[in-house]
Amino acid sequence: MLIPNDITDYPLQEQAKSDVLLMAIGNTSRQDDGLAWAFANKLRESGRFTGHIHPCYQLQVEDSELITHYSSIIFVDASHNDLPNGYGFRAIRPDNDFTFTTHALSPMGLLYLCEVLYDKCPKAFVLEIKGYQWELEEGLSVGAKKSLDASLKFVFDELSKQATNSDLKHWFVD
Amino acid sequence: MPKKIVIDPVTRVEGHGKVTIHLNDQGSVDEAYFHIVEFRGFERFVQGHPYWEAPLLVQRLCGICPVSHHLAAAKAIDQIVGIDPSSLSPTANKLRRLLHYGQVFQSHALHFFYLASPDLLFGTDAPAEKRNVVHVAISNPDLAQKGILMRKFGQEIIKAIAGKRIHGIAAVPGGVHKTFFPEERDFFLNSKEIPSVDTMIEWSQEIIQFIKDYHARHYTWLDAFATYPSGHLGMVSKDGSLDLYDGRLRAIDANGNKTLHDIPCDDYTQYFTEGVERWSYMKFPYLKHLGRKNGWNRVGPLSRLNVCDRLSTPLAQQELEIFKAYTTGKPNHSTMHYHWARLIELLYCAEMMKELLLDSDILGDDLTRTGLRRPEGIGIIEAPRGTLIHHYKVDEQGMITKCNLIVSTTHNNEGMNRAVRKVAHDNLNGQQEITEGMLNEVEVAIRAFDPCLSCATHALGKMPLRLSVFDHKGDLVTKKTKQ
Repeated sequence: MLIPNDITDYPLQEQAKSDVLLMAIGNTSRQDDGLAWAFANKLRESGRFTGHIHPCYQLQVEDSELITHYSSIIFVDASHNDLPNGYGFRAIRPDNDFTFTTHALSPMGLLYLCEVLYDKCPKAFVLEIKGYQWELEEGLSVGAKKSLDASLKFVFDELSKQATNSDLKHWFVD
Repeated sequence: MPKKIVIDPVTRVEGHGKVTIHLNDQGSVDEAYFHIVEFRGFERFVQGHPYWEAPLLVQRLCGICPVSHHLAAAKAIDQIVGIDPSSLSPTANKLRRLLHYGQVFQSHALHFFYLASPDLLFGTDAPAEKRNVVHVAISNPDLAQKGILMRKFGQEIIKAIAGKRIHGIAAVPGGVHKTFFPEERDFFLNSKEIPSVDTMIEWSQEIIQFIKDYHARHYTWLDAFATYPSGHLGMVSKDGSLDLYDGRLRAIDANGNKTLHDIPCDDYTQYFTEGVERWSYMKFPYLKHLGRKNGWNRVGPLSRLNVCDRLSTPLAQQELEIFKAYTTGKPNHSTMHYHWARLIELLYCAEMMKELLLDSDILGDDLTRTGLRRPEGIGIIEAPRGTLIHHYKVDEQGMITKCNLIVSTTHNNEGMNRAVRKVAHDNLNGQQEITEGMLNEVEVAIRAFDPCLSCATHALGKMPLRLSVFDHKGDLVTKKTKQ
């Protein structure tokens, strides 16, 4: 299997045990925009995630080729949205939602490109984690730390136990 | 009634700017400006930092060409530790060059396939929602797939040498910090995990053929669109060959006469200065001895091919000969020929990468050297978009006391404004209705330069680029805004 790009951005991880890719999107120099990387770090430290982790600043057109090598993708990103639980999790489908700029590529748009270019469409999900502050500083805000804890609790306590969901059950080991 | 048109933001460029076009009572263009509305700050805030931090800090100017800033700063910092380019170890010199060619290769691929090709494939007056890389993928998946893999190849070169694709670290004062291993080299040669460098050369030739075929069908437009005479600036080696990493500065006037005679990079302050205009944060560099009016030059692929005598790789040299023959050896001033020139450089970089990957020096372990400390360092390279100048002064403790950056897009500031004015005059004068397609042509002219506005003003943050039309009273009549 192809080793995902930018894995050297990150502490080395063990050989993946599944063809699941977690794309952590963010910038740790912009306060809560670093939520996805913090989430990915915690997940890696837990040793329970079976797939590859790919931290990145933003999605890029060429990621449409990267995701062809996986059966399932989970996009994790910080969110401005009003999320009562501090996080939101949903399945997504390809969507031609492109705007004028290639600086902003959505997970749905990336799936659409993958489908158009490579005739493949991995199962995909978005985990958004609520952030509050976005200035040029490192470190998460108090609110973002709570969101991070809530999202991790959701993943470990609920998502990992949804063994009946065949799309998700092989993402984690106990 | 007089009008003022605003295009805001200009799209498919790197960074944030806007265009304003002023129309008079007769509907003719009085003036047109390309404004850069980002604020620069990097030159100031690196002051007080130790010199060895500069190559790390300044690459944050940009997410597209950070390697260029990293290497230009590194070359300057080399001098501060007493190392001139010729004193670097062969391993360090060649690894930095390989990194640089990988960077230029991926940047040129990004620009052509993602940013420029929609205008060429669909036409400048195609619906705006169609002019993007997604529709390139839908209508021409083979082209799009190759574009993606070519950009990826360049990024993998960067990752292999600098640790990651964006904002990695390769250069340290006096050399590089990491040995390059045989298995890392073989990754680019054996076609097992990614298409090999030979495939990159083959695809580069294909895409040059594409642009030549396109030119054969559209030469009337391509040759004349946004075309105007200008000087050109670039870097060459001692024998007059193009050199993107190190060499001497050469400039020519519109007739091809040398206006800068292969000067050493360290002497740039004797020849260059910068002007300012009230309507832009971006400066206007020019040659002192020719003055603000006549001393400005275009830079980048078109200019580099205009100023150099030859390319050192065989396939790219063949293409250069065809390119130069088209204007019978005279300077090529067609702005849209930037695309053609950029693709010849794409091939040149692919060939240079192969040459270096096959050179055993890149696997050496003589990585760094030091000499006698100096108070000042100047690093100049040819970045994807043109000549890039980094200049630092340090105090006795090694803290940076002065930093001057003249970025590629800054050199092109006057040139881009001329292009905007030319297209505005040619396309908008006397028109009853100004269509979106007409305004896009203004952007097409800017886009040919592949400007990086965030680099040029050293800004941080969100940076869209914007077009406005005003009447003679200054009232806004039309504005093109995409958010």
